[in-house]
Amino acid sequence: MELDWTTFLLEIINFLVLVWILTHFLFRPVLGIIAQRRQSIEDTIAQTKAAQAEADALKSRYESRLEDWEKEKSVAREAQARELEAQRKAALAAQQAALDDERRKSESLAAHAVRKQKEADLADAIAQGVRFTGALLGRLKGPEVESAIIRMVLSDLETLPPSRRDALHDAARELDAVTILTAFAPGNDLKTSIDHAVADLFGKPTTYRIDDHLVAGIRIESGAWQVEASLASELEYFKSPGTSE
Amino acid sequence: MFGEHWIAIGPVSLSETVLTTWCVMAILAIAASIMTRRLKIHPSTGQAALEAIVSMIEDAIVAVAPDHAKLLLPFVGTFWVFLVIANLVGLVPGLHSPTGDLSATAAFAILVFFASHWFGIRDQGLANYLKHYLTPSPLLLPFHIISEITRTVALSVRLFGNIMSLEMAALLILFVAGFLVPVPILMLHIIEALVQAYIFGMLALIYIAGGLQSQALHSRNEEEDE
Repeated sequence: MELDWTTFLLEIINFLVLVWILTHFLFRPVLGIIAQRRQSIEDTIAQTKAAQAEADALKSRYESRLEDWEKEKSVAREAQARELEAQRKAALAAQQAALDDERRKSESLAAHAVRKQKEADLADAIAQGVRFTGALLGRLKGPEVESAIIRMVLSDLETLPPSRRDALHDAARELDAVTILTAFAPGNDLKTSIDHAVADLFGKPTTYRIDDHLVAGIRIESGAWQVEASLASELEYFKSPGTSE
Repeated sequence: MFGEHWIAIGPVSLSETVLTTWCVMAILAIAASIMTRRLKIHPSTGQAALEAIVSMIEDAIVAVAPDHAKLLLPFVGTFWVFLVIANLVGLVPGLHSPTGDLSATAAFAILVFFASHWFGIRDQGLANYLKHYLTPSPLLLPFHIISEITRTVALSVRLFGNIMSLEMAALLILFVAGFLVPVPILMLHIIEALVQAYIFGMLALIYIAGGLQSQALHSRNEEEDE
């Protein structure tokens, strides 16, 4: 148990040398590789965290974008719905307008057709009336009817205003006589009445002629002036357009 | 038997302890060089075991002196690694543990003694470091000095006594009882070698850490008093 100073000093030196050896060949390399691994792990963790953060950011960005898309989609859908509604309304309005036009055209055509039909019916009615009246008057014609017509005309001539009477008088000034046309030969009394009326109105004598076309009645011709009251002229008047109104 | 001079080189005679220490150093240097030659990020089984040993040493130091682990690791770690091997060398027939020689354990204790002061002065400066010998009262300075001496002596004698006594006991049993009878004692030797290496290294760490943290502890106490 004695102390050997040589051993003591050499052990001190030996240990210090061993400290250097183990520091350089054991602790430093091992700690270095552990530090490298730790750094690598920390780098990996940092990269993972960064990737996670990036992924989270991307996720939130895409979620935000998806929300924006949803909003844009809903807005676009609403706009499209409004546009479709407007187009539908416009189409409906156009269709309605077309239908109204068509309806108006149809109504117009129908009215026109009705009017034409009415006109045709009226013309037929008139024609039938004329035929019926002509047939009736043809059966009723005779000197009595004509005498009544003549007397009615003479009565009307007496009520003419003075200006007309003057005008008739002036028109017959250059004539020799006033021509009287009848369907039947008038009696003497009737002739006398006619002569008096003509003399009173025109101031001229009369010449008589028979005209069967009058059916029954009288025509007084004074130059350009003609005064007629006959069944033929009345029937012609019925035949003429506008008489129904 | 311990500390016998085997080789004399001029006036310097080398003892068995020194030669065994050199052998242990050579083995450790070669093994460390081989094992750390091809370290990889993805470790093999051997590398993982080596890293586990170094990490355990580092963790033990961090637990005691967390701020100075890198500084203390080479010194304290070398103690643990060397003492484990040196204590176990005695199991090899014909060889004796270097730690069974008081000259060697005294050398290690002296190293711890100077290391604790060296690291303390290095960390805090000479004046600040020496202040802690005067706290809490200058009257305690002799006791501090006695404590420094006795703990160093105890450190060397504890390791020497345990290892030497184990080898002596095994030798005596071998002489008295015969071959293979000392085997249980040798099993105990393994455990004792590991325990003594751990105790020596841990005490060295605690002494050094005490030197490092004494002034800091004193400053903290003063701040708390204020």
